Parts: sequence; structure tokens; C-alpha cells
Amino acid sequence: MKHDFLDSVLLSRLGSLPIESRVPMMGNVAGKHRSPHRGSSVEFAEYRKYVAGDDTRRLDWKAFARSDRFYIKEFEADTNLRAYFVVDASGSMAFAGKGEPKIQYARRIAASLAYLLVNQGDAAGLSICTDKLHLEVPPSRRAAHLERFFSTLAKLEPSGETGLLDALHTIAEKIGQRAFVVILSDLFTDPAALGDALQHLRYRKHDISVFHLMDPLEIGFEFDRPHRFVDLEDGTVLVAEPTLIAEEYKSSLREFLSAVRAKCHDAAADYQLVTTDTPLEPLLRDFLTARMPKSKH
Amino acid sequence: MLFLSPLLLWFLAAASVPVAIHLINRRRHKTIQWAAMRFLLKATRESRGKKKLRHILILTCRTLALAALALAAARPVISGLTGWGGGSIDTVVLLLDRSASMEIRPGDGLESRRQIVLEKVRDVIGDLKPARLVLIDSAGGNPQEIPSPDVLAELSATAATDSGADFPAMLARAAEFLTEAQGRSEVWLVSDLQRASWRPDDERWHSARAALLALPQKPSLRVLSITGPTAANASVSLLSSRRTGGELLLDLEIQRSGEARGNSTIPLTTRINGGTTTDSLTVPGQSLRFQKRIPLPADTESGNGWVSIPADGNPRDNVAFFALVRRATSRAIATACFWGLPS
Repeated sequence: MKHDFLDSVLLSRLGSLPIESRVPMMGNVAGKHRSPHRGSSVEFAEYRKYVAGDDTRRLDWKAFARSDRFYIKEFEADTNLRAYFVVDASGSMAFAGKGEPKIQYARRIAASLAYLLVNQGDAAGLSICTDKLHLEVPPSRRAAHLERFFSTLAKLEPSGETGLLDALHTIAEKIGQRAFVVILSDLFTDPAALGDALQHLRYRKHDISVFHLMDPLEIGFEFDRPHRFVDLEDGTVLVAEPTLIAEEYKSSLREFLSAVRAKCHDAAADYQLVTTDTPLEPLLRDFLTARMPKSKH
Repeated sequence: MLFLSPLLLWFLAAASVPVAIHLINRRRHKTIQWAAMRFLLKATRESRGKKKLRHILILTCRTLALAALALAAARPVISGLTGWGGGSIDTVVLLLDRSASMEIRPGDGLESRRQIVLEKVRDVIGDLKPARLVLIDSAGGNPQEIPSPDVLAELSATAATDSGADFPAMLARAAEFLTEAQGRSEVWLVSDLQRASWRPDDERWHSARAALLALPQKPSLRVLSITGPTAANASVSLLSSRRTGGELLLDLEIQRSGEARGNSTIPLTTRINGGTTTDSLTVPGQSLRFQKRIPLPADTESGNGWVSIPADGNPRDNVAFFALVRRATSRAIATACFWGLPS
């Protein structure tokens, strides 16, 4: 593979698992995913009463023979899925403590899922956000499009403060039809404002997945001597004795994580707290398996 | 407050070590680029109160502990409740151990333990200025009033002896003396803490304690011990002597101090009736028992002599004396007296 964030072995192993949508999608071509509209697939959806103007060819004559009433037989419509990967490119995503940089981990997740989506005939798009930049690669189903997707990811340089909230609101407004929105970020923003952005997406009936990326050092906060902490986003400097403030730090972080989780659940988002030392294959396998309808497990 | 080892007060500087380590650690910080800064700032704001106070308290405790250790090492002499000029002592009874072990020198070229401790006692008592200073030495055993602590070292009652010490008896004697004393008193026990002198299993300790407790004004007891490293020492002792035929047989033992290792060659000088001979002895390890045969001239009836080794850490155990006599022949003389017999 040309890019270091793509693992051919991983992709071949995960290739057998389909990426399913948890809500009906509104695609522009036929595909593997359920649509809110009725269509002409082989999968039976429901009976409904005949109303004037319906196509008489869709009348179920057997049902008429049994009940002496006119019923229209409806079938599921299958459509394709459009996925938007929203990658936070703020300075904090450059942090690498005990694991790899968070941005690299985000690249690996986005690239792997995009490859799998395009491979199954769906479209994948990319949205990169900081406080100064909102770069978009529109979704496409073409295999050639993937190269643009990957090269944009490869050029990504985290810097500045986060622009995730604005990006989410923009996407919610901009995407007219239902889509699969995958958020890859450390979510270092106000949980209440994040909740509003997620509710905005939910209002537009998007299927939301959140990969909350954290470094193990950020969670464990294990230091043995004083450190001079320099903020990756705004350069704030703080000299502190970690052993003295570890308890308060962990308590504050726990509070933040539970608030974020609650906001995600409120917006019916699929929330995953991931540390950057987690192996990618089991993470994605579990993620994809959990999205499959119960009947396909 | 007075100190028996004021030089060790320099170690008070060690009390600044925890503060220095704290400051060095603060300067030794490592720089790290950090993402979750908002939680760090919040934690720092929240931990400013109690945590900082606790940290300062721990630092203070460490500093005070080191200062206390340094003060204890300097051996303070505290009088009164606070020790700061609180008490005027009326009588100090000094129980002085004059046993041979007090002649051990802490190092080559230094004075004996007895001389060192007498100097300290002189300095401390000179500062305390008690109304009376009474000496009970281990050899004499009787209380004698000392006019000034400056003369302590010059008295024959504080000179070296070859005798042992009996602290239970000395303490009982001090208690007896204090029954007649007025005002506040202290009993100072000056010793090198030899078991043979203190006799910890002796029953007389109970009676001495009871006697002290029975005093109308209970005295304070203060032990001025002098122990620690000693200069290399060897001792010679005579286990037995006997005369067989034309020879004098001496069973001798040479002991070296506990730290001695390996072989050591020691010259042994023997003097008998004015004649002196010197032999070299190799002492393996810490002790050597051997028999020395000294041929005697045929007409020797009696005499005396000694065996000695060179002067070392304790000059009081380098000589062993002996005497020789021809075994007296028992004779019985029958006498009869007759009184009142007619001549």
C-alpha cells in the first residue's frame, strides 16, 4: 500500500464484513441499504389498502380472494449509502503519549472504513476541520476517488484550535439526504455545544458514529516528576507536579467523558471511546458487527 | 540549651535538604506537549487549597524530622520543662565509671573515654552552674563535694583505675546522699555502658529505684554515655601460673579487639626479678591462649614480674603481673606448756 495508514492485511480480513446503516438511507442509486421509500426489491415490506390512482398491477389478487378487499403489496427499496468522515485536525490531535498520534489513528480508521465502503459500492467523503480550515472531499463511489481521499488524509497536519462544532453544523445543513456521519476526534470542546451539534445531525436523520480518540497517557496521567505542559492548540504553558493534581485531573476527565457519552447517547449516536493503543482490527470488527442487523449476526 | 556534642549541630544544615530537593525537582521539570490542557488547568485550580497545604505540611515535617535528628545527635542537655533556661539545679550528683574500659581511646592519638567525658561534663556543668557538684566514683564509692567542675580532671578520684564499676551500688549511694540534699537535683551517670559495670540483672536495681522514688523531690537521671569506635586494641591476661621444678609456667591469653582480622605479630615482653626478655607472638584471629615456660635459676626462692605488650587503644590492659614463691613445707610443731609446775 502506498500510504502508511492503510493495512492491506487488515482490509482483506475485514472485507467480508459489510458496513450496514442503522437507519434507512436515501441514496441516489440502488444499493445494499434499506430506503424509507417502497421499491421493487424482492424483500416484502407490507400490505396497504388500495387507494384510487394506485397501479392495479400491484394489487394482490390472492389477498382479494381471501378477504374481498383490495390490497397493494409493497416491497423494500434498496439504495446506496453515503458516508462523511469528519476528522478533527486541531493541534490536540497531534498528541502522542503512550500510543501513536491521535491523528494517525484517525487516519487509519477513516481510510480503512472508506476503502470498505467504496468496495461495497457506497460513497465515502471526507471533511477536515480546524478553527481556520474546513476542507471537504465530496462523497463518491468511484474507486479512483479513494486516491484523492487518501492523499488528503496523508497531507493532514494538525494545528490550531478545534473547529469540529462548526463543521458538524455545516454538514448537518449542507447534506440534504440522510447519510452516515463518522466523527473522529478527541472532542476537546464543550460537551453541551457538542450535544447541540449532534442533535442537529440527528434532526436531519443522519446515522452518527463517534470515535472518541484518547491517548492512554491522557487517561492514566502517570508521571513521576514535575512537567512543563505546553498546550498543543494555543501554546498555554503550565508547570505542575502531576502527582499533586492527578486526582483532580482524573476526576475532571471522568466528568467530561461521562458528559460526552451522555450527549452522544441523547443524539442516538454510536459512541466509542478508543485509546490509541487499541489494536485496530478488533475495534473495527466489533464496530461493524454491532451495526449488522440482528438477523445477519 | 546545652549540647554535649555541639559540633554535630552543623548537621542542622541537613534540615534544608528536603526543601532543596523540592526546589531542584521543580527546576528539573520535563517539557511535554499536552492536549488535554483544560482538565489540567481545572485540576490545578482545584488542588490549590488542601493539597498545597498538605504538601507544605509534609515538607515541614521532613525538615523538622531532620532537624530533630541533628539536635539529638548533638546530645542536648535539657533542664526544666522547656530546656530554655527553665531550671536552676541545686545539686548534680556525678556517678563516674572509672573502670579499665573507660581508658579505651576512640582513636590513635586521642584521649581516653574517661578524659573526653570528663571534659564534656566540665563544660556542661560549667554552663549549668549548679549550686553543688558531688562526685561518686566507681573506685571510691563515697560522695565527695567538688568545689568547681574545672578541677574534675585533676582529682585523684577521677583518675584511671584497673577496677570495675558497680552502678547499682553507686546509684543506691547517690539516693542515700540525696535524702539529705535540698532543692532540685540531677544524677548523672557517666559510663561507657559496659554490661559488667551496669549489671542489668542485678536485684539491687529495684532497691536503688525504690530509694530514688522515695525521695521527697525526685531527681532527674541523665546517662552520659560514651561509646563508638575505638582504636585498635590488644590485651594480655594471666590465666594461671605455677612452678614446676626449675620452671615457671604461665598460662596467658592475648585478645584483640572485635574488629581484628588475620594474623598479627605482637612483641611480648617478660620481666622477672629484674631480667627482661622479649619474644614475638603471632596471634591468629582475635585471641590466642598459650603457655609460657620461664626457666628459673636454681636458687630462686621468690620473685615477681610481669608480661606486657606494647601500648595501644587501652593502656590499662597491656600488662599482667605475677609472683612466684617456693611452696612452703608444712611443718607441725608440738609444744607443751606447763604452768604451775615446780621448777
